[in-house]
Amino acid sequence: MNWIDFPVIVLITALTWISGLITVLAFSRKTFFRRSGIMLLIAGTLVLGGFIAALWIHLERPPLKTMGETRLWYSFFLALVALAGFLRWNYMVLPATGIPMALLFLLINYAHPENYEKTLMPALQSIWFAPHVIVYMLSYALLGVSSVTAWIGLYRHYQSRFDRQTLYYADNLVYLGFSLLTLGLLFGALWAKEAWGHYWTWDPKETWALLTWLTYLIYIHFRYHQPEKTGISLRILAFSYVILLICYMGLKYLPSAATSVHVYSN
Amino acid sequence: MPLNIYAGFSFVVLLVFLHLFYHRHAFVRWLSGVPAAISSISLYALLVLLLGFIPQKETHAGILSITGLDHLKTSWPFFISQVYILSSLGLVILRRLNHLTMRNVGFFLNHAGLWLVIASGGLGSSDLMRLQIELYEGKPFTNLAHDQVNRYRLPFSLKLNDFILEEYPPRIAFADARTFQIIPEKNVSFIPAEPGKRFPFKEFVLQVDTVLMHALSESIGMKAVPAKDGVPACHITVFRASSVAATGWIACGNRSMHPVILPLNDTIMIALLDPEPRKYQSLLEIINRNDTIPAVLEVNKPIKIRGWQLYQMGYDQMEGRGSQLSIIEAVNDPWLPVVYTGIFMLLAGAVYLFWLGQGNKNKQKQ
Repeated sequence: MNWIDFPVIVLITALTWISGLITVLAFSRKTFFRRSGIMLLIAGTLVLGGFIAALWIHLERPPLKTMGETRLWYSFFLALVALAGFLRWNYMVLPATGIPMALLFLLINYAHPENYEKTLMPALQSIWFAPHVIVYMLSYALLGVSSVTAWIGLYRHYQSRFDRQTLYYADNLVYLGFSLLTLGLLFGALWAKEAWGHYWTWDPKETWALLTWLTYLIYIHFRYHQPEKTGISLRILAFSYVILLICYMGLKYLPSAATSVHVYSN
Repeated sequence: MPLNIYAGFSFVVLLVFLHLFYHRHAFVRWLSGVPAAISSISLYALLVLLLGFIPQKETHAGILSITGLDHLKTSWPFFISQVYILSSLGLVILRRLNHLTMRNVGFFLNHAGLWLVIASGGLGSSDLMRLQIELYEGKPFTNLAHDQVNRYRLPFSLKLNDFILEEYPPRIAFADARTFQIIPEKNVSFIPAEPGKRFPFKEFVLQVDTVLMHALSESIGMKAVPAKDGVPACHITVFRASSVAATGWIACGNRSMHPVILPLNDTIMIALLDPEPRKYQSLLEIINRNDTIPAVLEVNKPIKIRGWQLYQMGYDQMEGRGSQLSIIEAVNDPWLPVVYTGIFMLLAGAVYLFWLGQGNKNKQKQ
């Protein structure tokens, strides 16, 4: 399995996700059809997960080096979070937003194929590599689903049919995502000390990672302090995801970030 | 004179004093409350946002320099913002210490951990030493190190016996013979040079016959030479249908020879791209007190000695595998244990938040 098989994987995953999502959304009661829809969603997610595992074996290194490789994990975790949240809370918004997001990032990957390479530069040959990036990708997925839930909430807020449950679920996801974000940031600091000599050097990636952490921190504290001010909370949450996306994918477009040591792909 | 220790200690004493004797004062009540927390975090976040957008190159001229925007990390607004956070954070920790229950353990780990990291990171930065040492193969022992400003003598000496660089197999690519741009084929731009590998390209198929990681040219082609010498080279055959369109050697270049390319036709050529490093390490000898000990220094595997940590930083990249130079970084960070304590408290606090965060939120549902 390598990148040459990727289009097939995209097709299978996309078809199972889309058909599963439509089935789940169309049948709100727990009937056979809805269970089949859930099965389809799980199947599509497993296919993508299996591809990632096969790629790991084929490349003989964690497939976490390039932007394309981490985006695979992002799609996988987005679908996983959407599914897990849906099975736990029966909240339709989660798969309705999470699965299309997962599909979007999968299609971005399809549109930007990369050359698979078994090479891994010495700086990335560390036991910290996989934990640091995987924890970050799962955290990004949790925060991504919660923030898109916030965008939906804002839309409904403007239509005066806002549901407080939206923020309840968003909060749960943010707490999970934020704790993992903290772990990822600290793993990065501990790894940086082993690899680069210092735990914090204000490298552009580190700076934007800290900024992402701070904006979600502001959200958590604002929710604690003024839980009834839902409009402001939603806006903070929606804004935080923009910062997250800049940190994850936008650095190469920033002139101030050209000299980051975090640029690993050619 | 450890000014930073005195300053830090005085600051803590001031916070404790405010908490113990003025906790009912309006100013202290505000500073130890959530609104101050939100505004202090927001101010800091705003400065970090500016840090993220504005290139930080101090020019000592112009509006960016006067406002501190091009050297934010050492500017007054940044310092004031950190003091603001530490005040707010410190007072809220002291306030919570009055109710030390199991539920507050997570709160304490997260908030006190963060306080330690910010305070010791900031205070410790003046005691941090990051020095560079250039070692050349075979040169005598040296304990000279330098940063951008000064030179220092380390309490141990180093000698470089050998610098070793191992490379991955280089990549083979088809390129435009005039512009030297790589021509991808169905989104594949290159293949690694491994014997037997095939690379379909338009109506051709390239096959890799032999790969030599260390080779030099001879009149009949390339021959293998001992490691550390030579360049990576590769013998390839390009087929069109069942006939041979081209065959021959391709090789990387180095300081003394140009790369060897194989022309396919007037417009397309085949080349071997420079290999990527797989591993590089310095074989050192270290004199510490009266002992001479051998050591191997590698990326991600620093050496700890006499309170210093040595890191493999770089080498002569123009020479590549033949580099006689190894660049080593020596770091001394006396405040590291304090920072690490804070980091591990934050790690524990994050785990706590992951497991119990939902539990706390349930009590605030709706």
